[in-house]
Amino acid sequence: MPLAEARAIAPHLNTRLADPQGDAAALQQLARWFVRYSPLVSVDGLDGITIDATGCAHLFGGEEAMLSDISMRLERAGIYACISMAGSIGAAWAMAHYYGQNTVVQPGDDQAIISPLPVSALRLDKKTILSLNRLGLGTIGSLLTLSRPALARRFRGARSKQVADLLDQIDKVVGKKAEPIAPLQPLPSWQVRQAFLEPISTPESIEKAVQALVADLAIILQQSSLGVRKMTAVAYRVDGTVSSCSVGTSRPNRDPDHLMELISEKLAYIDAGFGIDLLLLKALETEALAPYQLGDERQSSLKSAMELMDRLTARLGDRAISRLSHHQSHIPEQAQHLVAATNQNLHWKEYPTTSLCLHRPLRLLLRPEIVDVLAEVPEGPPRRFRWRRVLHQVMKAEGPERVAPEWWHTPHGYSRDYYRIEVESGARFWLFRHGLYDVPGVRPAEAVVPQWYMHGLFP
Amino acid sequence: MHPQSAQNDNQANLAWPEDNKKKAALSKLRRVVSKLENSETASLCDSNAAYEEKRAAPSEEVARHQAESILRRGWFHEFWADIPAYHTSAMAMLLEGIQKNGQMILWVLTPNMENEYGIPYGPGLLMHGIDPERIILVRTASEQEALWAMDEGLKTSSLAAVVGETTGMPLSASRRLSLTAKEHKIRFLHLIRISEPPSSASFSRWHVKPIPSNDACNSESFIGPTRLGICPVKHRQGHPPAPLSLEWKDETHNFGMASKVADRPLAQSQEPQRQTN
Amino acid sequence: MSYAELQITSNFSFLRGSSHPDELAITAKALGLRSIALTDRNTLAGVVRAHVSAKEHGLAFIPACRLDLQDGPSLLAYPTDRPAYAQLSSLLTTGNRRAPKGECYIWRDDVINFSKGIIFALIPPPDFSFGPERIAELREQLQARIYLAASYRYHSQDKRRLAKLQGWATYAGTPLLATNDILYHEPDRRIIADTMTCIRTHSTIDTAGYLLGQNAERFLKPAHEMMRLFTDHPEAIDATCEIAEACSFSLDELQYEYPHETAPDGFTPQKHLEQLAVGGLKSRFSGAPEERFQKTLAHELRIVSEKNYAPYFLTVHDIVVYARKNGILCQGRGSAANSLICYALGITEVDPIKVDLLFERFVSDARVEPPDIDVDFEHERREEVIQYIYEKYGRDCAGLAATTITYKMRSAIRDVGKVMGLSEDTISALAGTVWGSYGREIPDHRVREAGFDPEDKNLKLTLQIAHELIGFPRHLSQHVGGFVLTEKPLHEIVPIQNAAMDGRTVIEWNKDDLDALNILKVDILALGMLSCLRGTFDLLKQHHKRNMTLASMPKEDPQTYDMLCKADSIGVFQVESRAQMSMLPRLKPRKFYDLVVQVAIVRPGPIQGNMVHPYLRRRQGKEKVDYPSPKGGLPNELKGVLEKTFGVPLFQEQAMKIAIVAAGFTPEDADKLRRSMASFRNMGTIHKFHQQFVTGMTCRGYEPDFAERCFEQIKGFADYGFPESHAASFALLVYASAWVKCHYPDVFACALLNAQPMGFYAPAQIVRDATDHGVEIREADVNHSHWFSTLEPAPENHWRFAVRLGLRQITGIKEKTAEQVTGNRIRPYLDVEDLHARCDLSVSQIEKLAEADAFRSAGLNRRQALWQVKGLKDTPNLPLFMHADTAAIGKEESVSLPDMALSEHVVTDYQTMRLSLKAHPISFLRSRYTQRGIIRCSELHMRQNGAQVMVAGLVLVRQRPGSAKGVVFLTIEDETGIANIIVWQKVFESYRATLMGSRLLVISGELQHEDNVTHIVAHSLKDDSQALLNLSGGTKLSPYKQSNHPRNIRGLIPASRDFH
Repeated sequence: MPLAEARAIAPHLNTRLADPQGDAAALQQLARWFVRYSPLVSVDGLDGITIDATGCAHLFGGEEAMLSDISMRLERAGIYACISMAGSIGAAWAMAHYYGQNTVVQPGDDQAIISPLPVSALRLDKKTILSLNRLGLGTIGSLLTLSRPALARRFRGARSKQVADLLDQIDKVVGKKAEPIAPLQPLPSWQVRQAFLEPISTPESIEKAVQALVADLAIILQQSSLGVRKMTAVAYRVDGTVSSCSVGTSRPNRDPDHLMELISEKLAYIDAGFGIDLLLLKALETEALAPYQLGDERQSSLKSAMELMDRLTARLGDRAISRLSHHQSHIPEQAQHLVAATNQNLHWKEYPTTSLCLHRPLRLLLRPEIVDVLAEVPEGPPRRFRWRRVLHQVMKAEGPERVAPEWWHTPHGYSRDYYRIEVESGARFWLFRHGLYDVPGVRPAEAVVPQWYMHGLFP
Repeated sequence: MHPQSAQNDNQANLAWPEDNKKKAALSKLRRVVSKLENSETASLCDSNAAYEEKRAAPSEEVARHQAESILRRGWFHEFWADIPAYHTSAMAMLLEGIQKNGQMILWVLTPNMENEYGIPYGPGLLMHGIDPERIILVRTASEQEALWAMDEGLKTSSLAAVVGETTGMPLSASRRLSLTAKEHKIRFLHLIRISEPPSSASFSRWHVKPIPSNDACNSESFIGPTRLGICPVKHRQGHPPAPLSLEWKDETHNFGMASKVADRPLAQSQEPQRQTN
Repeated sequence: MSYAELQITSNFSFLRGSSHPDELAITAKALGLRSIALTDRNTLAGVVRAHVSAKEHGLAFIPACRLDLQDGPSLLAYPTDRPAYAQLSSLLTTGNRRAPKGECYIWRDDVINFSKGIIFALIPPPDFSFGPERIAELREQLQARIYLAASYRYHSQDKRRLAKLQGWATYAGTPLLATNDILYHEPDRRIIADTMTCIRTHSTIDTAGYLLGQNAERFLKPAHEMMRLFTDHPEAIDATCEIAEACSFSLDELQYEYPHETAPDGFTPQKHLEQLAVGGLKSRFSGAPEERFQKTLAHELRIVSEKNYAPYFLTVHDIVVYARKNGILCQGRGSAANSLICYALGITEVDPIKVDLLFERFVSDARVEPPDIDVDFEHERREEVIQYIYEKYGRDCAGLAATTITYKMRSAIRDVGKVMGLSEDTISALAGTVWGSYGREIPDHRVREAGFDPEDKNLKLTLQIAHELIGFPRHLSQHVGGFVLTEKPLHEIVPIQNAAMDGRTVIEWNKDDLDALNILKVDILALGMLSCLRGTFDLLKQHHKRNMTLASMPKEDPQTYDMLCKADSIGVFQVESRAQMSMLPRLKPRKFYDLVVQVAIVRPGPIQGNMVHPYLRRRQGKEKVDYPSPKGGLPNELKGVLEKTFGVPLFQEQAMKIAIVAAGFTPEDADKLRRSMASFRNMGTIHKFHQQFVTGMTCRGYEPDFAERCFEQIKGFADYGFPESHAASFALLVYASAWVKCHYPDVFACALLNAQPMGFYAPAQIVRDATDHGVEIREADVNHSHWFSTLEPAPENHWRFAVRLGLRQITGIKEKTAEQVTGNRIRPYLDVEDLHARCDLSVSQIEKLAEADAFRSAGLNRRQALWQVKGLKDTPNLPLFMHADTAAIGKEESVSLPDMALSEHVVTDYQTMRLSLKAHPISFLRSRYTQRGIIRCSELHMRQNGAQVMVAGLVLVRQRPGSAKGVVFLTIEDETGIANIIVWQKVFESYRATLMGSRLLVISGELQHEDNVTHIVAHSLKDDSQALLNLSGGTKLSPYKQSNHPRNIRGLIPASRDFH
């Protein structure tokens, strides 16, 4: 149903964007949890999980008990589930989807139990289901009574790629055809650990141990062509408490020296207490990092500049280190933003190189400063002005360059008229008048008394 | 000098033979005084004594030689503005030296300088041939932090330069930075804004100030290309070069010598003349 | 001190300019500018509007254009005289014709070829890439005057740029021309301009960045301000006046030359027309017509002669003759029905004297507009007529008029919402709130209803901008059938572009533009009912041996009126809608003129003007007929105007006459008022007349209340004008279709099915209605059906013929399939295999036939046929192969499939044909419903007024008309008939979900009878769609997916038709 239609029905409908990736990830995660029951677990479609429980049920006290254990745990986690166990994946799937309650199908009972289920329980595509229904073949049972050659002739899988092979699906349900399970791969984990027989507690020993761990981590990351973006050191203390510290990098990195340099700034946060008996170093976030090639100067220069940023950040804090980023705006102070050093995309390529880029100052004041100006009304340039208690005599002036406020942000804001000014000494300034005077027959005044500001400095 | 011939000379300059005396002299004139690194392109056209100093100027050739060698050899140079309004001029001079090298620039600001002059402005940097993406800006909470950040930057071999803006630094700090710069072969450019700067361990120190621009476009009200006066007030080797007056060249995108010939009104110099019927 | 603004981009540079041409002209006049030129991008689409407005306000106007070239900087082009204008128009046509729709590709060489007499101004590109040498070169190539355009834009280097351009100008010998590169008439429109930019570039306001304007300076400025900005270059200001002086061309000079082909040698067109008209009138009356006819005809012919419109009448006559000769049914509509000439020529069928129509409404001395003859043709064959016109006049001289597609509230919200960064959800919800409102604005409570805060800044801004955007042209489309014909090449008058449809070309001007320039056009329209009547006449001739035409239809047949009085009108032209059907028993039409009233009365005009009930009361004699009269004036001055309609104004003409007689308008003023109703932008202009109208009437002593009501009605006509003559033409088709339905329901049903899709009702209702009238309908069958539905002899039936459904009723069957099936049917098909062997058909087509149960005559039921189809294989059509295949597979054992329940059959019928002849789905639920006290629709009329009843039925139609505030009208159907439900706003709000989401509704409410109209006012609604699902048997849903609502059975029962 289109959203507009849903809204017509329920105007106050609360909507969220579908998140198929998130759903799939959550399902995958849930599937991993099932490894506690059996090593062979796989995700089935968008909303199912298949477990090969062969030889596992006795560990949980039998098949029924295993089912109720699963059901109980899922329920506790707030997950509603239909669970069935049968001799074939097909039969279990059909029961779970169409039977309505949790069941264990005993061997031999398959056919009897499955017969009354609708044909859609055979995992068929919609087209096949529809034509079976049109023929009056509504249940799996009605299919089983028909002769196989007659069916085969009419529902050949080859007829269309979308049309599933009916007979094949029937065979899978009744267990005549084996269906393998494609189990999940184990999750990789980027962590190294070091246990100490004799708990350590001095800063030197901790640093030494961490250094060894960093080296280990760098090696395993190298093997997988990965680099660290975020890393944490966790110290397990003899008294059972845990202390940790984390560092981040601006680009994926696995240089042990650099990583050590970063984390050593933070090791002081680890309180050893009565001693540490286990140290864990985890790479929390990793990114692909191609093997470093010697002689690639550009890459190496970038790398060391990034390392420098990491070092500065570790010592001075995130706020102190920034890059200049461009934002497309006619408002001068909006055109440049300070962004975190890790930002790679600074957008200066978008800055127009014709007409507009000319005549912008080299320094922009943190905020425009009020100046006293003597100028002709309505649009004359300044003749004289006083800034920071110094009086300047204007020799030359160019302007006005008019910048209107961004109406979607400040609908009632004033325009600015910018002037480039050269004073007696040769020093050059960027001043603007905030608000326009009345020009008879053209426009009314924006501000009663427009105010002048100093905004930037030219060389 | 006609712009056309200036261009030819630029090309000749690319292959500058050490032995060809006449050409060498001419080419040397064209070396940018402000080129702090081994840049191949020169942009100076002519010399001018517009920046007046009381002391007698040596011959042009000698002055250029000296200025160039001073800026080339040292790893630590200072640009000094004695009046607040001149600060940006000193900064423009400083940028000239790191224009061509595409590597990152660590730009360290003390809290005072940030409050007084704001921060470098990307659109303006682009005008001066500096890609703003090259700049790593460090805004510190204290002088101490600023000095540490500069020192840390100077240890990073891949930077084009470390720029520090202060209102002067203690001699000891300047010594340490000078050593680090020399050791790691990173240029350290110091922008000082103070009326009387203390002594430092720098290789050279240049006083920079703006000069009123020439008329442009046939009109007195237009502001001409940026003009700066620079004067070496300190150096480590040989005689100090003569003060120079420089002018921004839009065509080559850098500073060249301000010349009398270049004082022609812009409109006429750019467009060919032709009488129409 | 004077200045002409010569660079103006109006909103006809679509999604760029942000003011209407008339706003620009009015503002320019107010500022005292010397003149203006409209320079839209590669188009002249907006010049007529600017011209009209400039003329009205006494401003000099230069129709011009900005040429955006493929290989160089843009040029402004100002034609100095008529030949130069022709050059410009031809140039644009050349560019349009080689580009896809909406684009125009022009190269510099084209401009050079077409440059004679045109003054150019070059717009220097912002990067100065087109230097002075190249400008000088271009100047020499053009051999025309060329200027260099320069603007002061308040950007960083205006003065420098002007100085530089001055240098270029001197060098290249192209004087500087001052312009302000206008994008809007006032600075506030910058908001619209930025919005337009975003829409055009598919960006949002936050991401558009430098595409947006830096300031709001591109508005019209007075001469003194322009002089100030160009202080250093006063000659650039003088140049504007030079150009304005040189460009003397006005669009009024487009002396329109009508093609003079149609008269035979030795005759003037007028003479020829007179001959044809007199002869036509004679044959109409089979002999000499009465004197008053002759007098009227002479009067009309005199006016036509004065206005020199004879060729125009001859053209239309020629087209109509062509259609008749080729058996294409056609009929004139609209104001042409006022003309006795049109009646005599056979263009219209309404006798204007009998209905007492006014020729002056069509053509008169007072009317400045040209006459407008609209002719309807069968919708399936209109293309033939169009191709005939192209062939006869040539593509150079015949073109379709354009229609300007403008922003409506819904489209404006969509586009502006995207620009303002609203989410797709929010936009849909907001646009959805326009549902049921007239779409002019969204009141706060609707915004709140949609779940938003009307005070939200961003939302408010969005709505505000969207509101301002309404009426802005978005693109040009082709007019439904308005043809312009000329003697000289059309492209010298107006640029021609490619239309979306292949082989069609469209001119850049729309109907109003053509009217304003006095250019004649012929409307070639399509009407489904004519196709239906054509089919009817064919069937009557073929089976009932009756030769009938529209003209020879028995007049004033009482049985037909009896039928209409009972509202038995499903399928009848115009009067089959629910509103019309509820009006029929009240109005009780007994003669032709009643039908004219019937057609016109159920329209927003009379409804908004509250004219309907007074008319009905007076007609039924419940109220005295009197004529409003001014105090102290002539007592019956309006009697002449309103007599026919019992003193109540119902038609557009009457409203006009009231304006003249009662409000003291001059005929010209009245005509202006009429045009302002439907003119360029009806908002705003019509209110000017409000004052004049109401005070005019009250001053003359009328009740203010009556004056207001009259004006309300005129406003209603603004959107949906229905003149009397038009209603009369339509009434004729009402009568014709009703007559056939009354006397030959078999023929009517058959023809109606074949003319689908059209009208209000789906095939299921047509079939059902025919069955109710005793017509036998037979199933579609491979051994009996053709592509179209046909009549078969049925001796035992009252009507003697039965309707055999055509194969086209089966969803997904192609016409080619039907041809195969009928073409190879030398003997009956024995089974599926037989059909497969004899016809070259894909298995999927045969499967569709089987699924539709079309093999009954071969002794196969649906399942058996389907089972056989499943065994077929697509084979190459070679006899050898077929035999080989059959041999290899061999005969197989028969399989017994479970029988299909009747209910399942019915549901499958609906799925495959959208109707079932076997039974109605509700009949299977009846016993259950009876237990629950739910009655049949047919029982409703037996219950008393005010009784509480419960009914159940399939939802056929949901309607929420804008004129009825928040009320929803529902039509439901059960096995016995239909019932009309009214859901008041309050009930609607609480049952909204049920009402909007169900296919099958159980409704309880109060029964109301009024004037033989029965409806139920709903109290509560219940969704019973699940019951339908159970009928189909097979499809069972997984219990695990029980959240699925039965509305997902979309395909099961056809969805209702929802009208807003």
